[in-house]
Amino acid sequence: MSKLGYAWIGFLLIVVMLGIYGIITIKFIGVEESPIPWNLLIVAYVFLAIASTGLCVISVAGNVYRLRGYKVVAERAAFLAIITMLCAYIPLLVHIGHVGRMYHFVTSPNLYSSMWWMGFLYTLYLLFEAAEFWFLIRFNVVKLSQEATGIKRTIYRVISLGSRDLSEESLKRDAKFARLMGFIALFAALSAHFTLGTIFARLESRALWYGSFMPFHFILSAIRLGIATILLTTIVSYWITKKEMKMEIKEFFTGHLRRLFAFLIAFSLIYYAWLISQSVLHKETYFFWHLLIAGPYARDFWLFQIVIGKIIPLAILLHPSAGRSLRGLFTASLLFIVGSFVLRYQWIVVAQTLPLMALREGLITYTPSVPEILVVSGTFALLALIYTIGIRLLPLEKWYVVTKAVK
Amino acid sequence: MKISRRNFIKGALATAVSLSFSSQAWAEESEKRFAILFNGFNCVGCEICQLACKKRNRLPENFETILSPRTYVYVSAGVRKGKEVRVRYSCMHCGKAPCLEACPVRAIRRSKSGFVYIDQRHCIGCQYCIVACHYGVPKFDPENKVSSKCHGCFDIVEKGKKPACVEACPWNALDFGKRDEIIEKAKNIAKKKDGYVYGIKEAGGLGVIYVLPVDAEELGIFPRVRKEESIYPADFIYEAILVVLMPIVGYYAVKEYLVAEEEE
Ligand code: SF4
Ligand code: SF4
Repeated sequence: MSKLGYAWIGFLLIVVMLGIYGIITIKFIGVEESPIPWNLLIVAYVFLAIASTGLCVISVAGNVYRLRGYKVVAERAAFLAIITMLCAYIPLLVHIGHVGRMYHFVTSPNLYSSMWWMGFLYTLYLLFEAAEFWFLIRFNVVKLSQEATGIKRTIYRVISLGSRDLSEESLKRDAKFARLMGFIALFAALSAHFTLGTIFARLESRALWYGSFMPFHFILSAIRLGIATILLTTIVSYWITKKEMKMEIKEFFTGHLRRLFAFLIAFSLIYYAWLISQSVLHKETYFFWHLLIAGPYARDFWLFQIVIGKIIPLAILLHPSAGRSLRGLFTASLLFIVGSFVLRYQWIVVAQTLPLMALREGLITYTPSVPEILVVSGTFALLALIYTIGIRLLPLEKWYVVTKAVK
Repeated sequence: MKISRRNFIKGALATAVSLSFSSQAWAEESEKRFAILFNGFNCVGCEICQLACKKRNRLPENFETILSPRTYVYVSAGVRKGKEVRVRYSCMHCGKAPCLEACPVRAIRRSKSGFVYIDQRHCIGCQYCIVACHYGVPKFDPENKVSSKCHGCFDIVEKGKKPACVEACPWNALDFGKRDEIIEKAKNIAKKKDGYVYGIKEAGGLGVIYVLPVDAEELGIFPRVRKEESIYPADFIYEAILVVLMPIVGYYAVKEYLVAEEEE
């Protein structure tokens, strides 16, 4: 590994450490009462859960439905889906007051609560997604374990769960199981994600969230964010491993995926325009949109959500040369990810700024506290760290090559 | 069964199991339900109710004019339409309570008297109830890391006593009794004094009935809460799309899966 590589890992470790410090502060030392119930931690959770669902969809499109192009990123997407979901749980659990009482989810479930269903479905999703990933990489991990020596060998042995089978039948069986697991994971992911949308969408009192289109739009957001993440991470990992990107991946990225991404961004712009125009009919909803488009949140809304998060990426993607270069795709997806985070932040925070029962006027103001920021950045750093290690250790692309050879 | 938009959303995502639980969210439509009456014409804003509540619940006895983990009830004053308005703020004990539906671990329950309370030993502190409440009532207690709110003194009410705040009010601004009777009383006062009654139909019928000199919902004193029987036809288009689309998408998803399987 290069010096830069070590510096990068060192940097991530420091941010993770700071995150742990943030967790300790929130959990054991105690912090100021947050003026809104769902703060930055929940924003990060929702954001990561959205990304994970999108990555699952991409992985399944390649692995289960054998869509051309998607196949080459299926393993990477599955791996990312698992680690993002695992990391998503960190801010969520930090936010929950009594993690120790969470066994009540099993002992006294409220089947009428979207929150309960979300917990249940995401757990299911994680299990099946992990199973899918394992079947996808098992063959290559076994191979690697035979080639490797020392500690690496042990790690591969553990990952392969003791399996040593390298026969052609086992490869076929793997493919079969990977598809089945992926298929179930997809349904779990979509229903979990729909339920996550419903958590917000069914709250009549929060006009910005309320509405039956919201859960659907959540799924579209997931696919968008999934595409952005897979573009970003794949390109970056080719850059840092200093390898030439395979032609197939490059074609897929600059062709189909670019067009789909551009289409989805354009669609979200139209959806926004539609939402805002609809809100005029409804006083409460309009109130919130007004805060966003012309009120105190307007600057961040226009700058981050619209210009950085949508217009610039769209322009890059549609540009004849920039859209076909990896640099262009990288920039577009990075900006889009930044924009989506701000979107999720504003969407969750602004809806809670209206005091629901008060003769007094005035909005609640919220700025994230330092421990919250530390925990969230620590979570993202941990994610990057696991990914950095993952791309060095796991066969995230060889599968495709091997199957082709076998066929 | 009345069909509301919300039931529809749930119908689309939840299963028959979840629907069988729906009854718990509703207050039993029966004579058993109790209610508190707030008479805005009599209230002078002395906050003795707040003090009594704090005594009963062993909360720190400093006055607050905001709901907090230390304040379950307070009276706020303001001028609307040239009239002085006083409003008692606390949990409304909704007949169809979103907090109760929201809580994933059933830490929020409905007592026999119809009042909604939080079992704090059971609460995991996820704060969904806080976000879900129509009226922004539950508050997070950062010390104990649980949600807290007015419980309607359900424990002593079941023994035939009045809630502490009602007992304490010296101005006859609070009253307590069977919900049906309280509604009658409220209507009579409103008729006599030319006031408005709030809380009969909102959120499945509230456990606190208000008589106020102005129309509270119209003036934004209370948020707009859907009355149980109102149906917005436009809403159904979305749900109809959902109900029709899901099976079709599901069908093709499975079909494609099987086709690809054969091709293997
Ligand atoms: S007012 Fe809020 S806390 Fe009280 S019962 Fe209704 S939803 Fe629950
Ligand atoms: S904060 Fe407590 S009472 Fe409220 S929904 Fe969560 S677990 Fe239930």
